[in-house]
Order: sequence, then C-alpha cells, then structure tokens
Amino acid sequence: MVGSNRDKALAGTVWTVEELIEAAERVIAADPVLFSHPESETNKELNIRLIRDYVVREFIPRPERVGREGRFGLDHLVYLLAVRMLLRSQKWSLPAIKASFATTSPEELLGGLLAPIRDRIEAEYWSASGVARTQDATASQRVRTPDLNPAQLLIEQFKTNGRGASSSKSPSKAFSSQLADFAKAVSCPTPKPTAGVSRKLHLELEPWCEVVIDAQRIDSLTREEVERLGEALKSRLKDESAR
Amino acid sequence: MMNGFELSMVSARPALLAGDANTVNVLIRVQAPDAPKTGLPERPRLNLALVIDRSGSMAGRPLQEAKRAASFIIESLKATDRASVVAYDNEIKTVAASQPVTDKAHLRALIAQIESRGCTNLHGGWLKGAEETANHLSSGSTSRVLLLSDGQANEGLTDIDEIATQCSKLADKGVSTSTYGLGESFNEQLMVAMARSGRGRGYYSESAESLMERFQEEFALLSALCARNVRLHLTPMPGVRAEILNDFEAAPDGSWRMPDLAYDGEAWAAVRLRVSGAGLLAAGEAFNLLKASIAYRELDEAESHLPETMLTLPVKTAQEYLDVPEDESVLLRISEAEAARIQEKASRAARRGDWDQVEQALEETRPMAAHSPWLAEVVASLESLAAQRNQVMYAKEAVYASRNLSSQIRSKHETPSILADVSAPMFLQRKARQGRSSQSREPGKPKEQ
Repeated sequence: MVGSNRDKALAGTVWTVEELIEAAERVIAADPVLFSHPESETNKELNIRLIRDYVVREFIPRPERVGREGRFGLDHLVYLLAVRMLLRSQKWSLPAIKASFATTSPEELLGGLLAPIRDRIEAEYWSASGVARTQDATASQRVRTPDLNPAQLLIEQFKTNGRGASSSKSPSKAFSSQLADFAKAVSCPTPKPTAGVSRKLHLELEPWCEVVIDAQRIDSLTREEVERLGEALKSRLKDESAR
Repeated sequence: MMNGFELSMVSARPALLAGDANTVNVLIRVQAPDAPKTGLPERPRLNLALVIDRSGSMAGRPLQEAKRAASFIIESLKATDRASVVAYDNEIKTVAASQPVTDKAHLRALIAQIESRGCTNLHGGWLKGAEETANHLSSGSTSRVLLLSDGQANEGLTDIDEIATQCSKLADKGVSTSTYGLGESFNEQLMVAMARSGRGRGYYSESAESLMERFQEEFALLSALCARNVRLHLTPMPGVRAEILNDFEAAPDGSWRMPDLAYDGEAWAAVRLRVSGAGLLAAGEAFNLLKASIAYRELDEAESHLPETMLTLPVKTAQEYLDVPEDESVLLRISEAEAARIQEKASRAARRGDWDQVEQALEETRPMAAHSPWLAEVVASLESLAAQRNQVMYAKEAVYASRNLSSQIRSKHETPSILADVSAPMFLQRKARQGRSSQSREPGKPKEQ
C-alpha cells in the first residue's frame, strides 16, 4: 500500500524488530487504556509474527535491510501504535485501517490520533537514536543533542518557541488560535474511558461574548466540526443582530 | 502500595426517586493516610529553583521580603536537597546554578546581592529555573520551580495559553511549578494558569509582609507529600450522564488530574449525575450509577491504584425518597465547587469593570454559603471589595478563592467551622481572604491604608 502522504517517512531506522516491540510495549504500558478493547480484558501481546503480519498487510512499511537484519524507525513505531489503537480501543476494521493509512502520513498520525502520547513516542525514538528534534526542524532534519532527559529536551523546544514571541494578541485572534488548536488535534476521535463525564469550559471571545463548551469534547473535535461551529456562530450572530 | 489511602463516593441524598429522571450530587474523596504519630517519614529529596522577579516595581520592601522568603527556603533545605536561584527582569540571571545545599551561607549571600532593575521577562525567568531543575532530575525527588512575580509579563513570551501549556508539558516530565503573585499589579490569570497547569500551588500576597507565610505553606506541603500525579477515572453507567464541577484538567487518557496528596489530607471531586429515563427505575431496585478508580504515583515513582468503587443507590417511592436526609458534608463541597465556577467568571467581570455582573455573581453565590461557613467568609470578603469597587483586588481575590474552593486539598478531619483549621497544617487551612496572612481573617474589613 503506497499513498502520497504515507511516503513521507519521519526519520532513519534505529531498532531491530525486537527493540521495536519493546519500544511499542513501553508506550502502551504507559497508557494502557488507550490500547485496550472495551469488551475484552486481554490485550494481545506484540510479537515478531504479528509485526511480520502487519508488514505483509502493509499496515507497517517494510523495514530497511541492513545485511540480513530488518531495521525499523519512528514511522514504523507510529503505524504500529496507530494500528493497535484503532483495532483495540476504537474497534476499526482492518480494511478501514488500511484505507485510512493509505492517505495518512506518520506526521499526521502523530499530530492527530496519537497526539496524546506523541511526546512518549518521540522520546522512545530520541532515546534510541540519541537525536532530538528542534522546534522548527522537520522530522527528517534532526540535530544531535545526546544525553538530555525528556524535561531538558522539552525546555530546548520552549527556548526556540519563546524567542521573539509576540505579546499582543486581540481577543478575536485568541479565539481563532483556540479554534485552530482544536482543529489540529485529531482526525479520528480519541478513546475516552470517561465518556459521558463532562466539564464546562468558558471561552471568553470578547468581554461581552462567551462560548460555553464541553472541555473534553474539544479533544475530539474534527477540523470540519470546528469549521461548522464557526459558520454556525457567524450565522447565529448575524441573525441576532438583524433582529 | 503504601497502606492507608482510601477512595469513597457518597451522594447528597443516598436514594433515587422511582419513575422519574434524577439529578444526583456526588462527593468523591481520596484520602491520604494519617500522619504517623512519631512524625512524618523523611521527606523526599527536593530539587527546587527559586525564580525571583527583580524588575523595577519590586524595589524596596517587596524585593526585601522576596529575598527573605528565598533565604527561608534555603535555610529549610537539607544537604541532600538541591537548589538554584534565578533572578529576572528583562534579563535572566542565574544567581546560583543548581547545587546541593551544603553551603547555605554562600547561597544566602548570593540572594542578598539581587537588586531591582528593568522589565519583566517572566517566561524567560521561569524557563531558566525549569532548566536548572531539569538538569538534575532524579527519581524519588520532588522537582519544582517556585516563581515569584509582582508584575505583568511584558518581555519574551507573554501568551498565557502558551506559557500554561509549557508548564503542563514540563509537569508531565517531572518538573512542577508553583507561583507567588505579589501586590496588585501581577497578572492573576497567568499566575493561576501556570500553577494549575504546572501542578503546583498558586499563592498570592496582597503585601510583602505575608509572602513568607506562603513560602512556609508550600514548604510544609512539600515536606508532607505522600502521593503525586493523582488521577481520577470516572465511568458513568448506561443511562447516566456525569459532569465534574471542579476545575480539574483532563489527562490524555480521559482521567481527571487531582491535586497531589499530603498526609492527613484529602483530594475531592464534586460530580453531578443526571439519570435519564423516566419510568426506568422501579421502587425497591438498586441502580448502579458511577464507577470510580484512582491511580497515583508514590514518592519513589511507583505507580499505584486504589480499588474501583461503584456508587449504587436504592430506588424509592416519593414518600420514602423525601424521608431520606441529605448529607450536609456533600452539599457543602457541591456549593463550594459551584461557587468557585461563578467567582472565576466574576473575576474576569471585575477585571473589565462590569460590576453588574459581579453583583449578580455575588447574588448567585450567597445562598450557597448557607452550607459552608468558609464560603460565607469568602463571600463577605468579596462583598467588601465589591462595595469598594476595587477592580484589581476583586479580580485577584475571586480567582484565587475560586481555585482554592475548587481544588485545594482538605483535612480528612475537616469540620464546617474554619476556626477548627488552626490546628491543621498550613496547607490544609481554609482562608477567608486569600491574599492575606492567616491571622487576618475578619471578613469585610477593608485593607489597611
């Protein structure tokens, strides 16, 4: 299976198949709920045979060959975790996953479905490769900053973030950026074990205008929904002001 | 797993009304063990960064008190702890790089040399403190940045959402943030957001004189911590919708982040359940409503869980239902959580001078105070500030009161009367006036001029 987005590999290979499994298991163990089947207590273990099966089914790209050994990288880990999450907690069918992956790049998965655990996934990769991503670099442009712990790596990113940041931000701009933040989150709904438990978030758009939304629902808003919300808000305001 | 942690769920009225939709208020408590009678066990090692605002507005008494408070922290640390000191204005200066606290006199002398100047690069100062702390992360130690400011962030990164997001991400990696706002000019929305997202405490002092007490409170809390990263998982049963009333952050796995727990304390959540389906419930049955479980991290970083608890209520006829008394302790916390939400909004209204909305918020809050003497005192303080049309102080008092009402850990042995708090550790005491020392608790008394 080859799709235009899918071809955008994230970075070089760093793991043997056993190491890839270990890395995936560590990520899963840190957030088991994200990978658990709502109607099944048991979680099928990862093993070499399963990885081969995923490669054959083209869920995971073929590993790079180094001599007789297959080598795996960040994009392999991303697709592996995405398959597990979609199969287990989201109950997607195999054909649906295959169709979705054909047009979804690893970066899109990291920014969407896997966003809640992106840091952990990338930390696994950094830890294996000894490289860290600078804020502005694309995934394939990584620089060497060995021996930094995850907090130090994060601070390096913040330093780049903070430089030259503007302090002037109008309320309406803040709202656009909040909406953009909502939109960036997901293309698939993330599993919510506490579905049905809500908390109200009050977004002050202007001193005289406030939107009340379900704080957890934000996490699963799609870009289309955000756009629909924006349109609905515009049209409602126009109607009200025309009265 | 450390013994003595308990999870309990209790509803305001432990019954459901047959044949009707029901609204059920629930209090969830996560209680820490009692402090050992022989004294607290040795606290975990601390890895702190003291980040002090030295901008021009801090000149004089505020900077003196800030330095005194920082010296107090240094004096209270042990040789096995680490500390760094960062001073910031428009420039960031590492006064003392992170080091074991073996030469307290030297550290105190470095603090004494801090002088006021320049603008306020708050984010830069915080980040430098975080860096000093992150450079020495180790399992089994508590790493925290203590950020003090009396002004608005006006240099470097100033966006509240972005700074709070950074605090949250860094807390995920083991460096938490507590904030100390001083005086009238600091940005309470920023400081509260940083503490909330940074999983530390947010304090404010109206005057430099009460600053020391805030640092003492934090230090007492850090010394008595027994569980970190406390997460509450809630699963409503079919036909039930749940709304959490506290101002808790949602974790990526859908759980709710509760405050860290200290000995003798309890973290709590107020949850409102709506049970739909008129006619669904028949008298005599029992109905499962809500499943709750707790995960937390012990001080040695071991992950622990408390057994899952289910809230099950009996279904009763109308007469039987009315005969079941309501639990005052649940009503008290529900009132406090709801009042917190209203006053959080009132804080923003006061900031823009919308006194009609402030008065309306007070009007809504007053009846809730009937259940809570603490809330009654908080309302009295806020009424006094509203009567003075004191925009700045109302905004601060309301936002900190809101935060404390909603998410401060409480004494396991709490009684409605706040006078009984005097014997409790400082971090478990409920304050009538958030920005003043615990001694000045007379409600309604205007600030001394």
